[in-house]
Amino acid sequence: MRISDYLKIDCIKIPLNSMKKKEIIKELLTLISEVYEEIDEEDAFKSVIEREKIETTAIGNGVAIPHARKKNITKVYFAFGITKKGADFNAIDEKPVNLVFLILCPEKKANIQISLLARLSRILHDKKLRKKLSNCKTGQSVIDLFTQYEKQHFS
Amino acid sequence: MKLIILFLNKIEYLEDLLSAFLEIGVPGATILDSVGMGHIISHDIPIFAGLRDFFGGSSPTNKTILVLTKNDLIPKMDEVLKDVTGYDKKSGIAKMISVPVDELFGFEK
Repeated sequence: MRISDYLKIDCIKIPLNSMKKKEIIKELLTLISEVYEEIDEEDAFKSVIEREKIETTAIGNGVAIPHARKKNITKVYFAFGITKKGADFNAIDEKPVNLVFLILCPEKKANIQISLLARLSRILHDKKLRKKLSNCKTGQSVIDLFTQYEKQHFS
Repeated sequence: MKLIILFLNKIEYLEDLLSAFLEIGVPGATILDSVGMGHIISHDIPIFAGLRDFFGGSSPTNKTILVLTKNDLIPKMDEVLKDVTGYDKKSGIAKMISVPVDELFGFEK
């Protein structure tokens, strides 16, 4: 499983216009729903917010991975954005968030969700990677960065 | 000689199970407090908190029972485990595996 396989240039936004948690989530969901007509943006938004209520998905070091499992989808949908300034995401380290990954997974494929979240959290522990990612100006540079990193670190 | 590793998820069966093991001749066991990975990741690592329903059946704690035994006792242990707990493949009450033992050190002959 490679994160680079899930990153699509049309679902990456740099910088994001929004600065608030819910608006950021909406903005990323809009990207997905504009590319994939089958995604009901409002419905997905409710699910992501429900998940946020359980515990924050802002894992620290400026990274948040809001996500949800959906009954009515059959594949993974992925979006990424970088905020202009750090946004308040109720992070576990209370630091502002600037790197936001949004993931929608099929409900029946929890194993994919586990693998994706695990891989993403592990990669984003790398301080150098986070810095390079924060400096990305285009969607293609994000895809290239993940492609190169995963090629280097994962067989 | 085999090492039996028994994961008991419903710990309320522990006392009855140990008594039943003694009845069939299991001479001793080491019992460890343990926690399943599913419970740890969904409760202690915030990013996986959304998977709590997925790991819904996982107990906060379980017991890992280690038993060193002769091969012929193993079918009896399985029978006793079924009698006491009613475990099967789907129940998640218990799981048991056996591992061959090559050599023993520090044991009486």
